[in-house]
Amino acid sequence: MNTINAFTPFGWPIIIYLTLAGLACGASLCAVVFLRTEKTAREGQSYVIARTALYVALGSIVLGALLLLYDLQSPGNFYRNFSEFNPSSAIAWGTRIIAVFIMLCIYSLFLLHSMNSQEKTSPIGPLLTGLLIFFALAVGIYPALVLGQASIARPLWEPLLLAPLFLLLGLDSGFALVQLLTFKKWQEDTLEKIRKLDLAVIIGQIILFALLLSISTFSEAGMNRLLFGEFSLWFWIGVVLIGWLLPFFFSFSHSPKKNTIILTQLSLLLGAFALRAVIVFSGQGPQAFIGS
Amino acid sequence: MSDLPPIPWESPINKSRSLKMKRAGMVIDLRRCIGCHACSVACKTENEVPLGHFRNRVRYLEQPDVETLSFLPLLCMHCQDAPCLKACPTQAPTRLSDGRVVINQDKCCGMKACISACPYGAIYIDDTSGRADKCDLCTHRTSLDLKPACVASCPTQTLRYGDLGDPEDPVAKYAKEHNAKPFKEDADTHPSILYIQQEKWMEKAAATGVQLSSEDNEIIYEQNGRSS
Repeated sequence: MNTINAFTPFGWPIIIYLTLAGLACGASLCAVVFLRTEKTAREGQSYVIARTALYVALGSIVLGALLLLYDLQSPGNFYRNFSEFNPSSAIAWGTRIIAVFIMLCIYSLFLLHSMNSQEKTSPIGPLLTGLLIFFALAVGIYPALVLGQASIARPLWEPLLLAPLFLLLGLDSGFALVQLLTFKKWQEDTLEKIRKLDLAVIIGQIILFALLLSISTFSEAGMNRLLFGEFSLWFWIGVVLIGWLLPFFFSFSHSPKKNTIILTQLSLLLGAFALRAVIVFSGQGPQAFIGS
Repeated sequence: MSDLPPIPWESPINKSRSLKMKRAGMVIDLRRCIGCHACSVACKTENEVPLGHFRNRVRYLEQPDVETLSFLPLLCMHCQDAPCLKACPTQAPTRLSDGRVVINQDKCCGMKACISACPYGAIYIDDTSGRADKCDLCTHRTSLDLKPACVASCPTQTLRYGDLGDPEDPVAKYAKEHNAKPFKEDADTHPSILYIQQEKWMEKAAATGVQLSSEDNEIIYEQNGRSS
């Protein structure tokens, strides 16, 4: 699966990167939520969660960028990504979006660390919040546009559907990881809200993925490979069972216990990774090519 | 370089025409192709294409329910609306003034966006340099008024190189007379390589394009097994 050829140019490093970019998007939006809407009353707990979320976002995107660098076949020319600019290339925009996003995360973390513990207002003002939201969304969406630029050759990668799907995957995995890391600091009512959101996100994923398979001109051979062939285990176990059914089942549990919540969040994380792997791998390959 | 004499066994292309060329392209007459692979071999030799990759390749296609083989030479289509040009962040794929698309190796960082975007599977990564590469219609030869290596080596004149933008060019006239059409027209990339008598079923049979897949290896092996 990792052979570089005309059919599968994107392998595991790209899939892991896509997952990390999604995590960065979701975690930074989680930080914004805790900084702007849950502030003051929680005796500083919100700031701890927001700080952790920003560290997750920063760590994920930096690790992802390093993976992209590793995946380059001619890394010595990496600087060309900055010295040359092709406005029609989603990657060209993405490179710059990542750079600004990293700087925003670092600056926000600096402000959070240097704030006075007695302060009641968020040290991150509306402008910085707006920028964080904008660039977090851009980090979450642009990978879908990168794949979408190949949609002439690889019909499964329909950008109009991939963009919201990747955003949903990023949101649920980002919130899930932050929740796993700061579980004890979350309030009961917030957990309840997140549980309902998880449910909505899973339903959204299912609808978007079903639309992707039905609307795009994805070949019958590619569909068979996805549902019954090479990627069927990834799809049925990784996506359907772990990513959709388990969290869906847990979200109906009336008294959220620690173990249930941890299992739900882990399922969401694994499911998001599996769905990206399925989309990237089954979108490639000879069977997925136009004309097949 | 420009003082080098043409290779004696080739007829040079009219110099004045080649310099004015606006849309360098090719017409491939499938009625003439005998599947000899001379074009692939000439291309590999001329351009030192690494093992396992092709810039030009003849696909053997079996039409469903018909007991004959068809031959389909494939190469970079030098699309006028090329997806590789749009996808590359460093502008490594470049369009020359005569319309052909070439890869500027100095700018390539091996991100593979162009490979992913190409609907014809025409681009590969050169394992030694780590950079993308593909057919450039033998720019080094055509700048010396020689035909591309594949065209020069074709024993049946299946491949014809010329200016498709000039209605007076014999190759453009030939394309018009014989209703030449692009391969995978649905991709809507406006290729500069046109085919005479290509049929829709060929698109499915040769979906993978120029490069080699393990499944193609199996098909070739089976064909060799049958014929021996």
